[in-house]
Amino acid sequence: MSDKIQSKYIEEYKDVKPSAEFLDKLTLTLEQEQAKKKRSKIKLVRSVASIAACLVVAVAAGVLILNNTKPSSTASSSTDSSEIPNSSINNNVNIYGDNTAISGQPIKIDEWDTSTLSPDEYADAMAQMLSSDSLSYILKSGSNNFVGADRIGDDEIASLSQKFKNATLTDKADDSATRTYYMAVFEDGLIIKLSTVSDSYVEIPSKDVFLSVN
Amino acid sequence: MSNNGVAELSARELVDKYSAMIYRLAYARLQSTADAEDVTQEVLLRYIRADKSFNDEEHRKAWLLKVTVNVIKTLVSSAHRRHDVELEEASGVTYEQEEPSGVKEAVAQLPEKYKVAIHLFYFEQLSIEQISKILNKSQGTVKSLLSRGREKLRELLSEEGQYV
Repeated sequence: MSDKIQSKYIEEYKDVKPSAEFLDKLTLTLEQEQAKKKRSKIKLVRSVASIAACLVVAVAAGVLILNNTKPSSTASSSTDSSEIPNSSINNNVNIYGDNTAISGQPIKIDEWDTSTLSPDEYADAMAQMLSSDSLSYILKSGSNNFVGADRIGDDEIASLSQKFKNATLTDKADDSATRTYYMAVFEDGLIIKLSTVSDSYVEIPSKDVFLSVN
Repeated sequence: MSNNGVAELSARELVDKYSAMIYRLAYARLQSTADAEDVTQEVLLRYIRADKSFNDEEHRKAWLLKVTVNVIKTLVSSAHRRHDVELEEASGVTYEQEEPSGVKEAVAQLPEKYKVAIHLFYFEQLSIEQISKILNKSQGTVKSLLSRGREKLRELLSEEGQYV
């Protein structure tokens, strides 16, 4: 095609154009489409904002719930072993009685099933449990509400386990004696509370068992 | 629309700037005012819905032309249009091809496969590379289409004794 043909083609095709009426309708249609798109964008932003707000509320509520159920509050209300008479040995006692959380970690408290054990077998059973892989950690505290309790190291866990290995059932220790409280937390959610008296006795309050480690 | 590189266009600006380009390409291929209007509306609606970013005006123009070609293909292969063509054929009425009265009419009489390439090359003045991207064909194929189309166009116009 020569330049002449091309220029003629361009000249002729310049006259090919949509009618003004069609262009008016088209503009209106496109404006409606743009408005619809803008509305859906606003809706999307609102939806995202709503979801974000819900998440914030849910997280805040979760934090509040966890804080309200941490062991420092429940432990303080747990039964003090010194108040339980020796005669009231009760197997399968849950020391806290409900689900709780320690340091933000949700824990399901299960009962330590001692139905197949006699009280004089508790010590050996406990020694095995404390040296098993199922033990998560042990908290140590000067009070039985475990406020500000620290986790003990492997050496101290081994020492505690060793106490049980040679322990024998004995009478209740002097209530006025200084005690050290331990909370053993296991992977399956089991929590067992212990206390030692002058490094000579170990008490399992939930089982109302008192052991001499001499 | 969120066009990072080029300014966002209002509906009116979009129509003013691109509707004629789309309409002409559609008309060059379909030779129908109604179809060309349908294609123009569909392409511009797709543009709004796509919410696409363009680097510059050339990029936007190339995207619109490519979509136009695709919409034309869809329309040509649509059941409705095929039905219309079948009805025309079934009516038994045959129209004798008139001698082209101008270049536009001569291009309209070219086989379908040459029309779009010829229009993009001579009216939109796009390069072979640009046309190959829009038509999704190799540059060799585009060159061949243009060469054969031009040859056929010359034949049509020589019969009329014009521009040769």
